Amino acid sequence: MKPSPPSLSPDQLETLLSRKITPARPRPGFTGRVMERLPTPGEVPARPGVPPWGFAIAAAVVAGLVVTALLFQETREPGPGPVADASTQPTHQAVNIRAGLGAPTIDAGLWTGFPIEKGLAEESDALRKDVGRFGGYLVRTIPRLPAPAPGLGG
Amino acid sequence: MTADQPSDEELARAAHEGSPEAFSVLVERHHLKLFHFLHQITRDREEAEDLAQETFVRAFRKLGSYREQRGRFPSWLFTIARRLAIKAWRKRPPLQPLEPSITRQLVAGDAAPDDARDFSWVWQQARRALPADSFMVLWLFYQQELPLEEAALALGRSPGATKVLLHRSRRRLAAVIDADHARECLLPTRSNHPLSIA
Repeated sequence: MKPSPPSLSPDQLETLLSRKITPARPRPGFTGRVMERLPTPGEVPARPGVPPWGFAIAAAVVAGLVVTALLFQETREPGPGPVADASTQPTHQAVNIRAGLGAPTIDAGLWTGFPIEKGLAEESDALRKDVGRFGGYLVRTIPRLPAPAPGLGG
Repeated sequence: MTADQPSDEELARAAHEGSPEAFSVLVERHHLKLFHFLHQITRDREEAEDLAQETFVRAFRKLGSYREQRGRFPSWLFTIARRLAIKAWRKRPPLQPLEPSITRQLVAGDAAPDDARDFSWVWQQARRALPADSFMVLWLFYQQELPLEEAALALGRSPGATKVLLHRSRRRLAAVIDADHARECLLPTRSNHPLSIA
């Protein structure tokens, strides 16, 4: 049985691939034929970019979002969370975990906010640590702000 | 480029600003390499020419999207050509690698006795045995001598992925090349042997 020849070494293969082969050429007059096929200046699309009306649309969208957010802030009713008895709220106030919806909404012992999914709170050990349940709502407790000193107005 | 020869990028800018003459210089400058590449893919002169023309027409339409800082003009041109070449590649039925006896016949038929040897059989074999992008990366790197980064740009891959593709393509090609015949081809010919008499 004839032994198979050793395969090409990487160097030999490189040499083989690097040898230039006779280039095929198109028929004479190639450039002229290309130039005949080119679109006229009016047919060529303008350089891509953001058109002037694109900025107007973007500005309108941003303005709409801002207005919507402001309206939402004003019309948002306090959530269905229970009103806490001031006497049972000695050291902490609760903050809606979904703080992204707005500023913390706790004031004067009123727990407000939206119900949040349990899974959200359980994604993070740090969150789970200070998340508690209150009246069926998950809330996070933070140190209560000191009450204003009497006689200082407000 | 010398002072009297504008660079590809300058010509592309001028063409985009409405100078067909500038674009015709670009066509004149690059059409041979492009045609050679497409001819290797299609093995058909008419089809290769049609694809080369289409590549330039598309390039002209897209001149506005050409960004100099993202690569040289030839790489950008090959990016467009590659998309057309892939379509042409898929249109053709799959080909079997050539038997060694046939590659020897090709060489015997193609090469003039005292002329530089013809290595086109290597590329015919590659065309038959490799997937499109493997063939193209070898072609762009070895025949067009594009740097790896430029070849990567033309192939729409990262330089790292292109390096891996190049390595695998070489290995795959080595497995289907008649090693004995290849070594014979690499021996010096009479005309280019250092001891030959002119």
